[in-house]
Amino acid sequence: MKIDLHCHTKKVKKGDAITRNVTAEVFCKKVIDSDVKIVAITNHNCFDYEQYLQFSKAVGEYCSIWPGIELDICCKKEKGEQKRGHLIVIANPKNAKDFADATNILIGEVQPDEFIGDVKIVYGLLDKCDCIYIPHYHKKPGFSDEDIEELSNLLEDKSRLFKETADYRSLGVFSNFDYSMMIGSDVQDWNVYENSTFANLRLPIQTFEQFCLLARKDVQVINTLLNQKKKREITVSPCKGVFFELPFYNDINIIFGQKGTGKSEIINSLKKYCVDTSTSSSVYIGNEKEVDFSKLIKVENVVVSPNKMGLASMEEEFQELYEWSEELPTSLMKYVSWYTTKDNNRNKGRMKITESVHIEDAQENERLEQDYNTIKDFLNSDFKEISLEDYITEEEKQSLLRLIQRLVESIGAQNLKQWREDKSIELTNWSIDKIKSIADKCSDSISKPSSTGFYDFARKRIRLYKIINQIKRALEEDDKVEMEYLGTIEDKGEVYIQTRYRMLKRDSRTNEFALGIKSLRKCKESFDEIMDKAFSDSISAAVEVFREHFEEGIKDISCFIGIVKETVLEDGSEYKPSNGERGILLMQRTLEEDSDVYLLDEPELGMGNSYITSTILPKLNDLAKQRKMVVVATHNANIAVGTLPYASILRTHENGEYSTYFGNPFCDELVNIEDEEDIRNWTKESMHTLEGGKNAFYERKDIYESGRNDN
Amino acid sequence: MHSMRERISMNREEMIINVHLEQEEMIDYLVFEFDQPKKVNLNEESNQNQLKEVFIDILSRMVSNKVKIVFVDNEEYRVGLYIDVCKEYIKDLNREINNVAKTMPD
Repeated sequence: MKIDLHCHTKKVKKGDAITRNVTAEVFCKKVIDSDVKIVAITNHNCFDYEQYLQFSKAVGEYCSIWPGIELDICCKKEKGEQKRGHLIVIANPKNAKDFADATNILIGEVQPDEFIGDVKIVYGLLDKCDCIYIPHYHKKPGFSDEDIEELSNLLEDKSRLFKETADYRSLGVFSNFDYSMMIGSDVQDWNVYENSTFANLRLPIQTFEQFCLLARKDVQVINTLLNQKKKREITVSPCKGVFFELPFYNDINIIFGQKGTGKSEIINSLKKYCVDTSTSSSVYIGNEKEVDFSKLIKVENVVVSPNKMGLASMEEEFQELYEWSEELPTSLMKYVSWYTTKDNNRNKGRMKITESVHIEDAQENERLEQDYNTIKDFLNSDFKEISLEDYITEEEKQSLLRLIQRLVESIGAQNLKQWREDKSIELTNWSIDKIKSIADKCSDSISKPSSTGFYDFARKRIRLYKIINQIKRALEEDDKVEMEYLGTIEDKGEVYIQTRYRMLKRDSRTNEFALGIKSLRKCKESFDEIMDKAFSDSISAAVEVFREHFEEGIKDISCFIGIVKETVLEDGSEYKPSNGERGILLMQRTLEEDSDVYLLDEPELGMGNSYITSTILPKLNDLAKQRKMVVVATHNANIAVGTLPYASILRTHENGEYSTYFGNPFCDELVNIEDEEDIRNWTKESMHTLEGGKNAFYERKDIYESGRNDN
Repeated sequence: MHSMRERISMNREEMIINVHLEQEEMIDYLVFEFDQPKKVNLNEESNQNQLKEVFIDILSRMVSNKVKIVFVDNEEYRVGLYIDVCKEYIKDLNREINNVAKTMPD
């Protein structure tokens, strides 16, 4: 909606162009052709009340004319020189006559070319006419920042102060830094009035009061390139089979109306829209807060990973334990057979290899294998993505790479050496056995057994012991805790969701684990049994018990990790929020999420009005300032009215028919989306639906005001 | 400078386990003189289970001791074949015991 709050209609000062003079007819035509809906007549140091009335009559219903004046004001000295600035003062049209009288007193008999006013005197005389103030800012002759501060300090309502720049580009820049800006035509020549720069109000308004209301809600009342209040037309459905489009602003949009008129369904439509268009959204449904809160502390959604506790999965160890089997000793009869047949064949007797024994494996170097795997992982990691030259000199970089290469080669060489030794031994032992077997067949004798079997037997038992030891150590791992901030409750402080990862313990509960806790406990007992019997005769039975648990699904250490999720205070002590507090925490969480769209359905359920006004309203207004789309279906007047929504959507059900009305408090209208002639009053409908009616509202007001004055 | 493993090894006391041969009701036995002596029937094809029990005893003692098996002559036992076989066997067994000792967990 175009407005022009700086419009000259007569040449007053010597410096004014003659083309500033305009007749009522031309004025009317030009204003209509330019599609300007509000014009403030602001001649220099002069308010012509008769002309104001004449021009108001000329434009009739088409446009609102506001009474104003552009004054020369004495400003702060600059470099010893007295400065002056221009200040536009515009009054509520209801007070046009009073404004005329006040300006006459102000100007008195002083000629317009000689008048220079004092801002305090101007304010003292004119403010009773319910005014807005627009000083020139970075526009000659302009107010300095100190002058504007002096003026601002006089005003009770700072939203009545705007600043006018010379051009739209400057206006856009200052708007981006949250200055309250305005621009007007400052028309020099009415012949080309339509080429002037006009301000575009964000929302259409009809009255001076509505303009001031809009200014109170938003620092910016006019659209600029970066600060436009965008809207989207979205198809919604309040009930099955019914669809229509509604505009939703990047600001607060309220849906209100009696119960059962489809408000929640409209919210659901918007949820679906967000999903379909991949628009990020945060949703709060008042009557689902219990369910939603419970979901937050459900452990089923948590992925159990040994990494959380700084452990490896130990899948290989569990598998090795499952596949473990006893190595039997070599029978002594084989030694007897060898001894009794060793002289059967003289040639065989000369083959001393037939009497040799296995070479035992070289001592396993677990550390070497670990280091080799570590260096391999390192080389494949994101290290190679680092641009080293950004952080160290070229010389240092080459030195580092050389050392890494040297390390890789050294570990690689040792690992290769180890591998060669292992393989050599393996091959040698195989060769010994093979030669013995062939020699035995060719000589019809038995070679000496390659081993008593003790080495292999003991190695297996020791390996079993080591595996069980590792598993038991992992089962003793300390709890790990993750804290996620949830919100703040007055008098209680910050509340967190604490996720505790802990190994199976005596006081663990069934719901901490995916597998049955009894099975897990029995499996854990089997580990103790295996450890006790690692060097005893009944080890096989103990391992067999474990095998049963393995086949039931206990295949790695993660099965033993229990998860406990609870709400706690900052000091870690458990705290169970009440029903209302859960809503508060969920609401805080929802509103803190970074989304493009926020959908709230009856957020007031379970919440006190004090919390709504002190916490929820400021947060909603903050989101609106960030140009987020906020849609709230509500029965609460504080939310529906106090947020000064850009869009109010009323749903009604009367005489068996559902209707939808669209409007806002600034134009004070709600228009039926299917019948433009069906217009309701926003104030009246809000009072009826949200306050219980005008009478109930005023009765409450009387009751409150009947108390002590200091309340 | 000795490694931890070597120091632990050095600190372990040496435990001697004597073995001897004896005959009872025409059956030849290799007897390991543990607290509770364990006999291995030399005439049985599958004396492995008996040997397994011996191995278990040796291994459990190796946890805190350096173990050495010593063949002791029994004047009353005269079967030369089994004497030679068992001496050879014990020699191999001691060698394997020493190698296992290097891999014992701390």
